[in-house]
Amino acid sequence: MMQESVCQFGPDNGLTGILTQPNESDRVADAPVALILNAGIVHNIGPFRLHVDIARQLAEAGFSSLRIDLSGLGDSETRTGKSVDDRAVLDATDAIDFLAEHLSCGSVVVVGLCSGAFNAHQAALADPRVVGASFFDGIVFRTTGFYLRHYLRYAKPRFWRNAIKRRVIGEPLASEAAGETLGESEFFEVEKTQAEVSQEIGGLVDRGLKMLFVYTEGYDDVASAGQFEEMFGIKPSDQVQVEYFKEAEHTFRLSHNRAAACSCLADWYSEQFTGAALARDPA
Amino acid sequence: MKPIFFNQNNERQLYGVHHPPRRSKGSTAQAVVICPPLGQEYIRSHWACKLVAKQLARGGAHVLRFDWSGHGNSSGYVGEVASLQNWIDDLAAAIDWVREESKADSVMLLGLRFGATLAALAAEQRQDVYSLVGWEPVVDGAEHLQSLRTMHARMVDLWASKTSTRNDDQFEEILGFELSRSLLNEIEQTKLELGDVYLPQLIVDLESRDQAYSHIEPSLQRTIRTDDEAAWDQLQTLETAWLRPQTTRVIVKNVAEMFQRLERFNQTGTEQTQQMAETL
Repeated sequence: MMQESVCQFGPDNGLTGILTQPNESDRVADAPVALILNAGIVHNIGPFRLHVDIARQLAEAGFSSLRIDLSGLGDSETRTGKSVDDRAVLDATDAIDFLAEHLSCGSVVVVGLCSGAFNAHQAALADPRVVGASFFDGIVFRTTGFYLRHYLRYAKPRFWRNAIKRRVIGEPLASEAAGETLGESEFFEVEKTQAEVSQEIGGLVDRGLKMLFVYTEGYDDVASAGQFEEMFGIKPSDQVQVEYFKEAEHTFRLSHNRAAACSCLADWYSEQFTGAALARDPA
Repeated sequence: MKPIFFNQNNERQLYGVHHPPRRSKGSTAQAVVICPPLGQEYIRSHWACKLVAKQLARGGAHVLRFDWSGHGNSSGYVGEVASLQNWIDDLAAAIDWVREESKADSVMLLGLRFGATLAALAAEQRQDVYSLVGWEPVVDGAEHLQSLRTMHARMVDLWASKTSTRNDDQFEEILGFELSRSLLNEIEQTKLELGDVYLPQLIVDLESRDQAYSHIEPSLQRTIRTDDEAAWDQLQTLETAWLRPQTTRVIVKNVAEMFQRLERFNQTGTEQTQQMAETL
């Protein structure tokens, strides 16, 4: 049976995380621990409890995870004296230090959705102990291909049906469940150019990071898996997997969308971080 | 703020956060258990529950906020909860934990939405609940479910592609979570009768909500109406943090007064006991 326990770490042990560990007999030896970061200001359980589902599914597959609250969020205390920009990376580093000290874990895979994906990207750049990353609806740039595919939605009768229905029932467009979706700029500031981010992801590839990029139809800035290569000039490969969840909303509101996302992550994790995969391609 | 797991000896490990008192006040230990709402309402109100817990702790109370089974960091999935009694048992474990930690003889239960409903149900089964605070309580379970189902149906209807969620004889998905049919039936039949709960109680509800409250002993019940915006049944705010700082302030002030009354009551009781002992 998997075990869930409370961890406190960081300055004055003020940061909180939940460590989920697999049954000893299921444990995959020498695998990195998944470090799951907050999505927006939702506490460590994740939107619609997504992070709990991820942690438990990873544990069933034999992997440990630590889902944390960044300083000032959820059940973590505020970190004083540091800028907000530094905060997430400092918190992630403290979490990795904690895992190294208490679990003798030398490597982690950062996981995050939305602003959590942005913070995971920053943490991956900052800490060499990060050997993998899973970004859900993270940093994106609109490409020519995006606009072509994006405007194809106007050809769908359902788009117009929903627009009319929303008007009739008086549901505002901007934050509606589906149809009129929200994009990156409404959730976090990247403040980097496309060229810079491409270079950074290229650097992570060169470092040997295994990466999973997941995008949803509910994320307004992406319209297909093919956009990844258009954005960053990197072809999907064994090392860089890209998935596009058509019909899924940005925060995985529906159970079956959430289950599909968790399975995708757990399958990728098993494929990339079991003993054979680690031995074949050490990070 | 100390995060903990408790109730580990039973099948369901529960997660909670203990806010110890920032100062001791009076001779009577004060203890509060915060009972959050269910489902997505729990996630939306997490920050608000944390704020009220911190402020009550600052006033001198031991405060425990916790996650129901199948919610937050507590064990299981909400679909595994077959009966409201499971959650009432969770609350009993939370009361035991905070009483042990605080050495308080009795506790106050502060419930938000269906958390208030569960608090009232639990209070009927315990002798150590001193008072109740019901914050926008769910009074009619059937009406509550209807509101959630309407939002869910609208959300699914407006999905980018035609889609559906589970709705069979065992489970029904409502706003992101699959709930068991047996639990839904119980919620549907739930009617909160605060007037029958013979405890001091504070009810905080919306002016705009047409919900009357009364008690056979009027001095036991205080109702405060707020002009906060009704926000639980609007799809567009399904994922928006629910924060009510002004109302929180009102609640904290009233809770302090309730604890002062408890303190005076205990002092009077102690004096009478001493007088009786001297007489004897």
